[in-house]
Order: sequence, then structure tokens, then C-alpha cells
Amino acid sequence: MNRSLLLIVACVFSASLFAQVQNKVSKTRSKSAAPYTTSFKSVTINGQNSLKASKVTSTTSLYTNVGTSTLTVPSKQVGIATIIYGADSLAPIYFERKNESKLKSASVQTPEQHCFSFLNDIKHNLHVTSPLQSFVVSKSTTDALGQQHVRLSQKYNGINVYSSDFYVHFAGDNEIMNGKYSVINSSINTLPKISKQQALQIASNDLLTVAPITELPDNLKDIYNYSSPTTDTVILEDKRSFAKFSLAYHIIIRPNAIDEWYYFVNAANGNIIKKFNNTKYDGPATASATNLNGVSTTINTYLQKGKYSLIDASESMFDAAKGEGIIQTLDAQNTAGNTYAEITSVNNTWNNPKAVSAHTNAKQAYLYFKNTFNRNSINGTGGNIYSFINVTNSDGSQMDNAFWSDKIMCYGNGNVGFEPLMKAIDVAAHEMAHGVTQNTAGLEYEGESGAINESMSDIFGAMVDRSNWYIGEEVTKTSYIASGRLRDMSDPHNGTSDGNNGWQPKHTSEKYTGTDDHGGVHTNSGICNYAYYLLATAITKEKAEQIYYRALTTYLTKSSQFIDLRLAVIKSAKDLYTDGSNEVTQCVKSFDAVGINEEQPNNYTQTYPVNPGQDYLLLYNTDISDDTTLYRSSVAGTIFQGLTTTNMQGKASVVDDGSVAYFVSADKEIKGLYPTPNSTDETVISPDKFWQNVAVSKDGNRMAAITSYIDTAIYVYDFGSDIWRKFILYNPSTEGENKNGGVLYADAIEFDHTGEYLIYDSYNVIRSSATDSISYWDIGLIKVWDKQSNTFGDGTISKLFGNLPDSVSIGNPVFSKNSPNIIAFDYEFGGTEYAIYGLNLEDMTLGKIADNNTFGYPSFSKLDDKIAYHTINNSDKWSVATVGLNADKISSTETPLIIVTDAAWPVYYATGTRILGLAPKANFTVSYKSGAAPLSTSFFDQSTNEPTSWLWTFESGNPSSSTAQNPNVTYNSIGTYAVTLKATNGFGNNTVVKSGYINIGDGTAIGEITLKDKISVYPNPSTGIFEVSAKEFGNDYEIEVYNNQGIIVKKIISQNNTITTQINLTGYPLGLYLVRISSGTESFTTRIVKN
Amino acid sequence: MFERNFLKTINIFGFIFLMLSCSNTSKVPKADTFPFEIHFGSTGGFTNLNPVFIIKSNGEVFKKDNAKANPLLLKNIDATKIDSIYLLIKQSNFADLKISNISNYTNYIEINYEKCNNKIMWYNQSQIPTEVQNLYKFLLSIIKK
Repeated sequence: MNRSLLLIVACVFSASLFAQVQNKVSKTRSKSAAPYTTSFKSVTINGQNSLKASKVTSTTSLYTNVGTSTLTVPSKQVGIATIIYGADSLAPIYFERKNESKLKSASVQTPEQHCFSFLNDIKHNLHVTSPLQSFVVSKSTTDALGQQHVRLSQKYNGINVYSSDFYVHFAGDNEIMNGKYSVINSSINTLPKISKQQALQIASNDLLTVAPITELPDNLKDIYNYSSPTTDTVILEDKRSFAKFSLAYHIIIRPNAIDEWYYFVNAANGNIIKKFNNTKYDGPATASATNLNGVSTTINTYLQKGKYSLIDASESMFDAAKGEGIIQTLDAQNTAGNTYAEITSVNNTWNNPKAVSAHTNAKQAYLYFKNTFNRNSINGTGGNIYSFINVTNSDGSQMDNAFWSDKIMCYGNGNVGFEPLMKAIDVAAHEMAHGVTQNTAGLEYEGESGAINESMSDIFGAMVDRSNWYIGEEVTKTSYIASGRLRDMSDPHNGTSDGNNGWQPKHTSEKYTGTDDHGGVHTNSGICNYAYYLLATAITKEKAEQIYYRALTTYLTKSSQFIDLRLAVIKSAKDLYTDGSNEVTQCVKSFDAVGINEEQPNNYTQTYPVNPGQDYLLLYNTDISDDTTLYRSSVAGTIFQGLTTTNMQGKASVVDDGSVAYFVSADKEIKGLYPTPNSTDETVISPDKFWQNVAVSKDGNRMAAITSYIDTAIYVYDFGSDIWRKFILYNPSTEGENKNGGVLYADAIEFDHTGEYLIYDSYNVIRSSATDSISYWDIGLIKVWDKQSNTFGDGTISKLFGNLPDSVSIGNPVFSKNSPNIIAFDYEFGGTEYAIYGLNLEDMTLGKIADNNTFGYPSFSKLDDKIAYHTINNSDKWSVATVGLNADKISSTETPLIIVTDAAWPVYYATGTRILGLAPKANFTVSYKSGAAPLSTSFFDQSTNEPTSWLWTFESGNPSSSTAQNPNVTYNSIGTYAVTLKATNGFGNNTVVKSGYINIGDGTAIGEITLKDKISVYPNPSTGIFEVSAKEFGNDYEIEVYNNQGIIVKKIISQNNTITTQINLTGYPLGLYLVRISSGTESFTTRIVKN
Repeated sequence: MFERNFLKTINIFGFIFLMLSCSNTSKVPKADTFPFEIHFGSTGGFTNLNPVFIIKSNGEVFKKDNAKANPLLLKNIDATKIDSIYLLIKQSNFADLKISNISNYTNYIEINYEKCNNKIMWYNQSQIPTEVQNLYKFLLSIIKK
């Protein structure tokens, strides 16, 4: 590859071309941009006028409508006066006449004197006996127009009449009175029977129920001119009293920096006549409203620009600056959710029970997750919570359903089968839990993962509505389900039988295996529900819900199956309560009882046969002075033979037998050539000039390609049917497609050995704001072909890793030549660190193969004993290096060696023919693993790679062997028995033996087996020393002793074939203990008594 | 008399020609029509009790209150609407679509036609191409009360 020096002009020209080569060979490409849009609109609150959460609420009073309406009263013309009366029709609120007083008297009067002269003159109109005694001047002013204004209050026996406040004006010749005062016709008792201190205590006690009371700091006290509550005696209008007025204490309390409360306490009996929050601001408010159950409840609302909305911004998650962290209820206005409107009130009154129910139930469900698990809203980061009411079916008919719609809880009003579904708290909690699942485990909504998804929602629904184990009992009509409940976790059969509404299985033997309802997610959830019920009954709901929440948020993933649920729950219990605790034991028992059993792994490692042909290395020539672009060399990087002069866009892909190499040419066509020297055949496979990269399946029957645009797709072509399919790329995150960005385009692609899956890398951009974004490369697997149906696959995608660390990109994945689960890929950190890593997809073991200084595009050798990749040598030239692999194929302890310079995109291939098929990997499960004799149980084949025949052996079973795929067997004898399965297909066979797999007892509780034949514990009862004789074992074993609280008190490990071991309970309390003895996968339990 | 008869004959033929030319009001060529049966609606939710809508190429529109219920005839739609459905199916390349996005509440369209049976599922409108959105909107407009 090294050539002689070129002329200067040529060097400059070369440098330019080199840059082009560099760009092509590196991962950086420029592609035409494309927009990304989202359609969800969110409600915005202007938090600038709001105050952050306090626990302040207001409440109803008798006077909620004060100031909310316009009173229209008739005016009365009396002589030359105009009189307008107030609502009581006694006291004028406006009186105007010509200045008769002025005409009568020429003496100079003060405005106050003039005022009383006027009032006295019209006292009959005022219905006041003595204005001088009833009214007191509070202020007197003369304005710039020369008009005089006297402001007056009212007194009764020297006590202020609250709310009485009016003016007398002297304007020109006119005398005017306006404002409010009270006509008091009855005698009012002005002797208080309770003291001011007592009244203050009454008010303070009441205020504690609605607001926290904190001492104001001194600076605020100065500002507010407030040091402590004030108490004045007043006469207050009180329609409940006989006199219509009461002597009251007016108390002003500032419970915190934000609020100011007014209380009016009856001085005769201590009743609170009225109270209200006198603080004037936009922000959180409360109201009293009635829900669908007819219960009056306090709801949180929000005042903004004079209008109240059903927005709860009272929780600590509310961020006023961002307007986030609200709980809002909206009205879908009898649509399918396509439109919605805010639910508002001008006066904070809510005559909308459906909205009230939805609103309060959402709050209650939110508080459950917050208080029980410290979870900050559905998404865990204080995100908004939305509820839609009045959601209908697509045709506008009333919906018998409720659902979680990606970000919103939606409620129908019921129809044939159900009442309005927002009525029930467990429905709200069920839907909210779907949101929690979406934001945590992301359980896919089909098959067993979907059933777990549904079960989790039922579980948390039942934990919020803790009084029973029913789901939907408040809204289910008995005409639809006779039991009156949609589901029953304590008995999933729900009082009916299979096929009827409301029935669910309670054991895996009853599991629905059809395709309806996405594989029966609403049906099979009964199995998980029952397991939870058993657990919670055994260890308490408080413990069970913590375990399950931990399982959901820490261990479960989107495709978790029932067995994964079992493992996750048991692990969570061990995390919270330690290994060997009663909580862990009960978790195990609960899953055993429903047939979700833990299986023993089959560690058989599979490989394909090695390609028998000669192996070579394809190398892309980066020396632009050489016309040949693609060379074939020996695997040592010698003996170069030119194959083509066609420039390429990307790495070549070779059929497994080495017969054809596909590539995308510089003019973006897909081409194929025979990678043999002297062959000039080069064919245009796809003349469309927009391709970027191509990969061929191992058998050569299909081709995958990507375009040179920002095209979020991979295209697959089937040579047999001459059909293209476009597969859309997406990131299957827990929130669905990220509305702020996601996959832009793919680059490197390769088929797996089966030809069903493509492994690919993709470029992703996530926008965190209008100007900030994060970009990275990631790897995924997409199903593009289905061998069983011999048609295109469903395009489902799995990402290699759930999350990548910040600043990390991975790409250029490639399968090993012979191991179906081994891949290698490029790793990049921060744009400066590069490496090649290997990964075992079976157990996700990661290994480092080599450090690098650029993306390397690795390739496995024929024997998987080496990796070739490109790098940049010390002279800044593209070069190909190789490094030897360890036996695990994903790591290396060798030093890489550069074998060729001016080369890139190495591809190992061989020219022999092999059949890419694998023998089965035998495995199985069973419906009932333990029980009393006679036990009938069903075995289910779970072998991989499509076995075509089976041979079962059942120790002590009837039948003792079977060739059926899923046989039924009966066990009649007490004991522990092994099961063997040999699975065979055209590529070979594999056998799995599970010892001690079936446990048959004598009728004692499942999970407990008497030890008379295997192990004995004596004497029993004992005063403290028990001997354990394990003469039947001959193996090491472990003894665990639990007290009657389920707490482990002793753990003894017996080794070296010890036959007799002592349990010493000297010093322990008298009573019952449980002894569990285990050895490998076998275990036995028995009870002992210390007396 | 001959002229009158001739004109009369012309008028008769003209009338017949006019009738024949107006008899086929469909704009979709006959070659592009085919029998179809469309099932669509939503699945999932708290109760999993959701109506199913069925439209046949003969214009019959049915509703099932739930998956297990018997279909009830809602209405018959005219040829113009059927033609629109043909066009929308073609425009969407429905037979070639592979869309299977499932969530708690999932919308679906399933069409049996031309020896094909294809079902697509989605829960967010952005998961389906514009042509499918158009088809779905049109189907919804037919069943709306």
C-alpha cells in the first residue's frame, strides 16, 4: 500500500481527497435535516403571580356569594331626593338631595356638623333614631373640587358594627349619602360570655386544621405591622341569631408569611360565625364540593385572572416558575379525547360531581405514591398529572371504560356495564399506576409482560382502596358481572367460570394462551394478582406493597415475563428484609402457589459450525493514489489482490459462503461483486442513487440498506419475492417515542445468523431545550424477518442497553462468526476515547477487546479468535489492526498489531459452505411443581431453536416417559423426583436434567414436606438441644431456624458429609420454631417445639 | 314524417346514451374495487370493554358493543363513501404496513381484502403515516352519531 511520494500539486489534491476519505471512513456524516414535531398541548399557568405551596385553604361560609352578583334595586324619587335601598330594603345605600340644610342655616358649620345635621334630617329615611349616637366619623376630607367627604362607621352601644361603612358628601348644592350601614331594630346582648382569649383559642384551633401556623420573622412583623393576633369586639350581622346581629370577636390572625385570616367568633357561645382568608392573590385555593358518592369534600383549585380552575397546585411538587407539578382535571366534552376544555368557576363553587371525583381521586392516588414510596408524581420528577372526564367512544357513545393515555388518565361515563368510572378511587389509582409503570419498568402491553403491567395497576389500585381486594366494585353493574366487581384479587375466578365476564385464572395452569387482548393481559393478570394477595395476606399489605414497588422500579424491564416477576419480587424482598427472612419465604411460596416457578438454567453454550472454507480479509484502500479501492488479502494482511476500482460509501458485506460482496458505491448505488481476483463482474443491485450502507443476510436471501438522508428507517429487500419493506426506527423507551427527539438515522447494519434480526447503530438527538441537545450513537436489534411464516418481521426493536452513560456512544456492531450471542462494537467517550468492546447477549457480560483512537468497525475472524479493526497509526494513516481474543470471545489480553496501512473497514470472510442451524437448547417448566399425592401436573417444553422431537423421562411419574411436546404426568408416591428432557432437531440434540424437581408430599401445606424418610430432627419437643440426622443426604446442607415471627434465629452450614448436626436453642424463648434444611436445589422444612 | 321519425330515433338513442353514461356514478375504476371488510376501534383500558365497528364493501356498517357481542347494523353508506375508502386503502398501502404499537389503550384498523388480512395498531397518532390518519378519520366520520 505504500507508494512513492507524489508532486506537491498532487499532494494538495490528495489532502483534499484524504479529507473526503476521512469523513467517509469516520462516523461523521452530514445529512439533510428533518423536523421533529409533537402534538400534545399542555395547560400553562403563570406562576409569577402565584405563591409556592403552603397548606392554606379557604372554606365555605354562609357568605360565599357576597360580591359575586349584581343587585338591582328600584330607586325611589322622594320629593327632590333620590333613594336607593340595599338588599334588606331598609337601609338606603344611596341618598341624594338638594342642600336644604345649607339653605336653612347660614351659620358656618364644619363638615362633621353639616354631616350630622343632614343625617338627622333624614333619620326617618335611614330608620335610625339618633344618627349622632349611631354613627361615628372616621375620616373627613375636602377634595380639590371643594367637595367635602365625611366617612362614617356605625356603633351599637359603643361597639363597632362590622361592615358598616358609608360616606356623606357635600357636592355643590347636593348632599349625598352612600355606602352601607345596618338597621338594627332588635336589642342585642352586648355582654360577652366568653373572653377574648377564649375566642382566640377557638379561632387558632380551627385555623390549625386548614393551615400550618408558623411564627413570622421580625422583619415581616414590621412590614405587616403585626406582632400577634388582634381581637376586637364587633356587632356582626348574623342571620342565624334572633336579633339578626350578634356580639362577636373579630380576630385577625397571620398564620404564616402568606396568609391573613379573619375569624368572627360569637361572644355569647363561641361559635365561629364566619371565617375567610383575607389574603388577596392569584394562586392555590380550596373549595368544598360534592363528589359522585354524594360526599362533600375539600378540593384544591387555582385562582388565576379572576377565574378558578380545577388545578391543584398545593403540593410540594408544584414549581411556580415553571408552572409544573399540578394535578389538573379537564373536560373532554364528550369526545374521544381529541378536544378538551378547562373546568372553571368564577366563584370557586363546583357543581360537577364527576369532575370533583376525578380531581380528588387523582390527588389521593398521587398522595399514595408520594407518602408510601416517596415518589414525586407519576414520572418521578414532579410532572403534571392530568385527568379527562366525559371521554366517549369514537362514535360518540358513552364509554364503559377508563384508560391511561400515555400522559393522561381518561374516564368514561359508563354505559351498559359500568357507572361513571371516575367515581372509584381504585380506578384512578389503577390508571395512575400505568403511568408509573410506563415511567419505570416500561412493561410492554402484551403477553406476560402486559399481564404484569395490568397486575401492577390492580395491585396499587387495591392498595389505595385498601378496604378490600376487589377492583372496580364501586362502578361495576351486577347486570354485567354478577359479583358486582370487575376483578377479585383474593379469588380471581370472581364467582364465575372461564369464559364469563369477570373471570380470571389464579394459576398458570389456567393461563389464557390465545391472541385476544394482546395475549390476555386483562385475563392472565389474575395469576399475578393472586400471588400478590397471598403474599400480602401472609406478611401484611404494608410490606408487600414495598416489595412490589421495588420490583417494579428497580428490577422489572419492558419484556419481563412471569418468571422475571418472581425473581424481581424475591430479590426485592431480600433487599428489604434480608435473605432467608419470612418475607422472602412467603414471596417464594406465593409464586409457587400460582405456578410461577423458578427454573434451573441450562448452561449449554451453542455455536455454529465453523466455515470450512479458506478465510480472507477484505480491505478498503484509503490510499487515494491507488485506483483500486477494494483488496482481498490473506488474514495476515499480505498477498493483496485487487477486486474493484469502484469507490465505496461504506464497508462491504459478504454472504456467509464468501460468494458475493455487497457495497454502496460512491454514486450511492448498491452493487455486488464476486470477491475473487480476476473477476470483473460487478452488478448494480439497486440503481437508486440514494443509498448509504448495505448488509446481506448470511444465506444471501435478503439485503438490508439505509439511505443517505436523515431517514429514520432501514429498508430490507427479499430477493425471493422481489419486495422491499421499510422498517421505521424508534427508541423503545419507557415513555414511548421521546417527544424531544430520538432516532435520526441508522448507519452500520448487520444480519444475525438466523437472518431474522438486524443489529444496527443509530444516531440520536435529544433536545433538552430550544438550543441545547444531546447527540449520541446507540445500538439496537430489529426483527425484519420471520422464519416461521417466511415473511417480513414485525419491526420490533430492542436496544442493547437500557441507558447509556453521559457522553458515551456505541456503534458499528458486528456478530461473531460462530456464536449466536457474541457481538463486538465500537465505544466512544466524549469524542476523545475509543475502544472495541465485546458483549455476550445471553448474560450481558461485557469485555474490553482493545483501546483505539477512532471508530474501528470491528470484524470477527473465521474462528472467532481474532478481531480486525481500523485505526490511525502514528503517521496519521488509516490502518488495519488485529488482536487475539480470549476464549470468551469478548475480551483480549493481547497487544494489537497493525497489519496493513492505508486501509480501513476490514471484513473477514471465508469461502466454504455451512448450514447455520443450531441444535435445540432443552428447557421446560411445569404447572405444579409440588403438592400432595396424587399430583397431576403438566410439563411445557421451553426449548429454543425449534426442536422437532422430544423425549421426556419422569422419575416415578405416570407415564414414566413421553415423546409429546407438552405431556401430562401424575405422581402417586411421596418423594422428590428428577425430570429429564432431550430435545432434538435437524442440527442435533440437547438434554437437560432437573434433579429434585418435583416434590410430592403427604398432604401437608404446599412447600412443607415431612422429613421422616430423609432427615430427622430429634428429640422434638426438646428443652433446647435438637439433633438433625441427615443420613440420607451424604451432601453438604444448610439449616435455617425461624421463630414464630418468621425471623431467622439460627443458620448452620453442615459440611464434609456430616451426618448429625446439633441445633442449640438454649436461651431462646419457648415455643414453636420452623426448621428449613436445604442442599443444592432440594429443601425440606419441619416444625420443632422448645418446651 | 320521415324527419320526425328520424329525429325521434335520434332523441331515443340520445336518451339511451345519456342514461348509460350516467348510470355509473363511481369515480373509482372497476379494476380498483374489491370486496373488503374493515374492523376498527380501540382495545384495552380498565375494563377492556370497547365497541368494535365493522364496515363492509357492500356499504353495511355494524357496531358490536364489545368484542364478544353480536354485530348490529348501524346504517348503510353510499357508493361515494365506499369509493373513498377504496382510495384511502390504496393510498395508505395498507397491505404493506407493519405497525404494531401497543399500550394500555390502543387503536386499531384491521382490513381483510384482496386475499390479505392486515391489522395495524397504535396509541399515538404520530405512529401512523398521514395516509392512515386520513383513512382512520374517514372511518370515524362514518360511525359518528
